[in-house]
Amino acid sequence: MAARPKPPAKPAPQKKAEPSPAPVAKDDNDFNALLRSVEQQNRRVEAPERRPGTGNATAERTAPPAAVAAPVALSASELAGIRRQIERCWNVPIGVPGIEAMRVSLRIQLEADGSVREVSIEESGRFDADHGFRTVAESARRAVLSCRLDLPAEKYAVWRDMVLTFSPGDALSG
Amino acid sequence: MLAGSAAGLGLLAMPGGAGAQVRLDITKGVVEPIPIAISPFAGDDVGTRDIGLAVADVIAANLESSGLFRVIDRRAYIQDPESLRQTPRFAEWRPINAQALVTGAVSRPAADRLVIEFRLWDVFSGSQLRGLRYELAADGWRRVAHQISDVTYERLTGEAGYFDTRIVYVSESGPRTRRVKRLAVMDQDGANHRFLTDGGQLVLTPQIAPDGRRVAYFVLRTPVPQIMMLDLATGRTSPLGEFPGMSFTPRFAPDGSVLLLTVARDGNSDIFSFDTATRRTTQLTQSPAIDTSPSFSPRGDRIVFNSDRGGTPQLYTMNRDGSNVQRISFGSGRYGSPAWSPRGDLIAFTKIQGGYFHIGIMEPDGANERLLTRSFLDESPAWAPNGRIIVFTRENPQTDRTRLMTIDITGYNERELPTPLDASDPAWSGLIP
Repeated sequence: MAARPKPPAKPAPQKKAEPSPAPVAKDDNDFNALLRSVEQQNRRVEAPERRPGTGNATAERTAPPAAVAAPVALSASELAGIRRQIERCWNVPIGVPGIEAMRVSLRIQLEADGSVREVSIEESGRFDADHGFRTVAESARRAVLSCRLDLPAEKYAVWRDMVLTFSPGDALSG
Repeated sequence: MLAGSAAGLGLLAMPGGAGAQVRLDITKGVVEPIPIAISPFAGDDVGTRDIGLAVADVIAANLESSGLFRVIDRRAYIQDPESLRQTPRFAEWRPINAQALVTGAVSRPAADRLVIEFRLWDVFSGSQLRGLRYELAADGWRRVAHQISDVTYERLTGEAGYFDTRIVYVSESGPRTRRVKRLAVMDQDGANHRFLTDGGQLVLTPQIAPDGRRVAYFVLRTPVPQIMMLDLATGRTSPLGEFPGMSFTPRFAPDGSVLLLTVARDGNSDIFSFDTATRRTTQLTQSPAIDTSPSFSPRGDRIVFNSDRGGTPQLYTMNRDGSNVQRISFGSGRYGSPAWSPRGDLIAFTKIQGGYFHIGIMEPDGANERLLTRSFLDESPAWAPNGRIIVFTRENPQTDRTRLMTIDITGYNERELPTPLDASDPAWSGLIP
C-alpha cells in the first residue's frame, strides 16, 4: 500500500529556463516619431500662450493639426487576425466545473518580434484560491506562450501591450 | 474547433498612444488532446531504473487512454532522465510542443521499500505545477503511478482523476447454453486481474461499495437466489439477508448505508431499500408494473429507475422514500439500466431503438438526451468516479465476444478494456482510499 504523498523534501528550484531578452526600447518607428512630433507641435503651440500679458489662445492656434489627429490603431481585420491566431492556440479545458461563467484576463507584453516578454494573470488572488480558475488561466497562458503571433511590425507601439480576456463559456455555447 | 457565439465577437482596441493597450475578447478555442512528455523516471541502479521506466509507461498509458492527452514519442526527447533530476532545460522541450512534462526519480532506501518523487512542469512558462514524494512498499509502484496519473490529469484538465480505481465485473466463459460466470476485479487499466468466485454459482450485477472494500452481487442459486456481500481484502462472502421472491440489481447509496434492490414476486417487481446496519427492508414502489434498475443520485436524495408503468419501459425519478415520482424519458424506443453520474449532472442509460442498442445520457430532468453508441447489443452502463467516462458491456455477434467498452461523455474515445475472457456487468469503484 502506498503511503500518503508528501511534497518533495527539496523541490527543484523554479527558475526561468531562459533569461528574458532585454526589453526593446526602440522609439524610432513611424508611430512614435509621429507622437513626438505631435507633442513638440503642441508644446510649440502652447508656449507662446503662456507669455505674461497676452490673452487667451485662439481656437485656430490651439487645435492640433488635422493631419496628425487621427489615431493610429490596429484595423478591424488586424485585430481579428490576432484573435484568430490566439484562438487556434487555446486548448479549452472543458471539464473544469463552473467553466461556463469564467472569464480570465491576461496582460501580455510583447517584444518587437512578436515573442512574449511578460504575461501576467489578473485576479492573482483567485488564481491561488480557485483551482478551476487556475486551470483555465494556465490554459490561456499556455496559449499565449506557445503561439507565435504574426503581427504588423509597423504598429508595434499599439500591440506591445495587450489585455486578452478568455471566455470559455462563450467558446462552449457556440 | 469550437464555434464561438456571435455575442462574444467584441474586439476592442484602445486608441493609439504610447501607453495604449489592445483589448481582445477570446471567445473560441480548440478542444484537442494536450501534448505531454513523460520521461522515464531516473533511478540509482538497474532495478530502480526499470521501475522508473515502468512507472512512466503506466502514466503514459493512463493519460493517453483518457483521450485528453497526446503523449509525445520518447524518441523525440533530448534530455535524459538523469539530467531531469534538476530543473528541465525547457528550451529543449518547446520545439516538440510539449506543453507539460512529467519527470521523476525512484530510489530504494531499503530492500522492501521505495521512494518515488514526481514533478509536473509547465513547459512554456517554465514553472513547476506539482511536486510530490511517495514512500511505499516495493510492490506498490503501480498504484503510485496511477496516483501520479490522477494528479497530472487533475492539474491539467481541472477534472477529478479516475486512474487509481478498480473495476469489478462478471467474467464469462464456456458455450452460451452452459455459461460459467465468475466475479472478477482488476485495476481500471486491466492490470492486477483476479477472480473472486470460482464459477460454481451464476453471479450477476456486482456493485462496489463507496468504501471500495466490499462488493454486493446477485447469486442465482437454488433453492433461493441471494444478494451476497464480499469483502475484497479477505475474500470472505456472506449473504445480506433473506428477501421474499427473487432480489437482484443491488445498488449502494452514496454513503454505503443502504442498498437498493429489485424484488420480483408473482410476476411483478418493485424497488426496495435495505439498510445494511439495521437489516430493515422498505418498499419504495407499489406499482403493478415492472419497476427495476434503481440508482441513487450522488447526494442520495433522489433515485432513478426503470418502469413500464406508462406502457413501455421508460425512466423515472423519485425521492429516496419513494415519493414524488416523475417520468423523465419521453423519446421513442425502450429505455433501461439507468445509472446516475457521480457528478450528478447526467444519467446514463441503455436505449433500444431502430433495431439497435445504444448507450445514452440525459440530464436528470430528461433534457438533452444524447446517444453515444450504437451496436448489436450495448448494455449495463456504469460511471467512472469523475463522471466523465462510462463503461458498458458490448456483445459482438460477428466475433461472438462480449467485452467491456469505455466511452467519453462527448461520444468520442470509445475503447475496449482488456479482459482475459468475455466480460459483462461492469461496476467502477471510487478512488481507492
